[in-house]
Amino acid sequence: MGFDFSSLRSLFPALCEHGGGQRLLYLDNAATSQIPKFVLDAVVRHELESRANIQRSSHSLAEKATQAYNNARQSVARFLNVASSDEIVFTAGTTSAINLLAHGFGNNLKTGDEILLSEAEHHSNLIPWQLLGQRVGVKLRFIPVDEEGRLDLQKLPELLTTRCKLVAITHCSNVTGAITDVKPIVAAARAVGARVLLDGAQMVPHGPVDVQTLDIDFYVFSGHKCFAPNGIGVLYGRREELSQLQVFQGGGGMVDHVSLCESRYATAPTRMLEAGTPAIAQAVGLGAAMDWMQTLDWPAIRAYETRLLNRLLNGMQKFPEMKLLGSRDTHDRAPVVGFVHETIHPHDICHILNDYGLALRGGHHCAQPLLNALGVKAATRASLAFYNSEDEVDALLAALEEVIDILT
Amino acid sequence: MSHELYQQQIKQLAADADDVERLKFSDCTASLDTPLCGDEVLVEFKTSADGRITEAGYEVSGCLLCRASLSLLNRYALGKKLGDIARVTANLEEMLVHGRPTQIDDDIDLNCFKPAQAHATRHDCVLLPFRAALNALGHSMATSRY
Repeated sequence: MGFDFSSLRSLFPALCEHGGGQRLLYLDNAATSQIPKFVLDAVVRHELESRANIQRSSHSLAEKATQAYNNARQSVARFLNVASSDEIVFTAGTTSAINLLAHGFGNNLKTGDEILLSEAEHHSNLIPWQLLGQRVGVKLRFIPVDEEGRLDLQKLPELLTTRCKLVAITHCSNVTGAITDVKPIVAAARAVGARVLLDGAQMVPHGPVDVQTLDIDFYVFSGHKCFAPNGIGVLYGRREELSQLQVFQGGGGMVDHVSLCESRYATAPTRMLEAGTPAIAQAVGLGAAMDWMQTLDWPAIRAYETRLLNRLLNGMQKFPEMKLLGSRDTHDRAPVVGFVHETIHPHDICHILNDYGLALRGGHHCAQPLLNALGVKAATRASLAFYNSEDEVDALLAALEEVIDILT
Repeated sequence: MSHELYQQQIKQLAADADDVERLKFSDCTASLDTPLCGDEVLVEFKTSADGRITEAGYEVSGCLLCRASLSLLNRYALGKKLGDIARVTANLEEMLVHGRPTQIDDDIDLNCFKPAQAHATRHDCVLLPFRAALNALGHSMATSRY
């Protein structure tokens, strides 16, 4: 099938030359990816031709909207290789998916139970569990990271006991790009009867995920990081796990019967866990993005992304005053590169890079515990996607030289 | 463009912040950080019976704008009271957030931060040291003899 870079990039209007204006060199994909025009078209078409509430009215437009929403759910199910779309719950994003779990799963726990996280977690996969700990008395334990930011799995045996009810860890770090070795974690969790949640926010932009092969219980990700609209995300859960979750939010659409004093909730998790009118058009956009991503040649794309990553890592060697976060080994690493200059603050670096049209993020990346573990307070991050070019990597390296020249 | 922001005066102010030190003893102290970028500032003062700052100590880990601002605070603070710091902080905020010209205070020139006005994400970096100073003095007001 191959990988035609130019035609693929041309799908993204924000990345195209507009004539006269400064070219956008977008290297902040771990924060939010750009969106292809056909995804926007799918959203607009839905709003123009099928806008109605779902699962409520019987008129034709409502049926079209319901069908479109259900189709999007099926698209996500195919992307994750899920047996049934009944196991896909739409949320507002990764954060809301994890918060849903922290209530729905967490409220079934009791004082003394444990949840195993890691030092590498995004705040989204930390704070909801801290809040649960405060509510229920659940104890949080943490897999430490090594000096490259990879989870130190040698600690698993001492961290995982029968008190552990859930292992909730990142599939891919948003700071170091480290891809978690999931298999031994799942095996260890199974041995003590714990469930496994993977935070896939940074993994999904780099290709379809097979949750059956991963053999996990829950998977979450956001649409806006994988070429889809904002305001839509996904919680995958095994059917038997979803059906045991407690209700998180109440409202229309999630009930079979309501009286003044009590309600009988819908038994289908996709209804029970999606109270109120969902983000229908955004789900349609996500479905379009998922369908398209499944048509791409991912082995070729991953090889290309690794080439970009290598080019960036090698290029950074000319800055001896720059500390690179993460492994130099590109094996099991997404094209995310965090770096820290010995005297120049990331915010200043990003500010000046913006003059060159380069969009990067500086700060703690909502991963303060990881940065603490790596011995830094803030970092600059270049996060690449398959639509980035070698020219853009070279432009970053050249601009960094000038930043250092200006500020030292 | 960045060259307006990262001009020589700002860079010199930021460099001066390398020399700030903590106090051995202080009457009041406050730490603040900006979650967005990770700037961290600690401000501590010794004050006289009438509330004037007699000694100031600092610790800063932050961006160039934050360090430049801290340096400006350091030059200004001695002999000043809570009300003076509050007035300057309000002036700085007015200039950055609302684009209004600063009121003239002979002891401090805030105009070097005017170019930051166009960069809303950087306002907190500039304001952080002054806000920390207010917190320190405010805490002192609330808990001590003043």
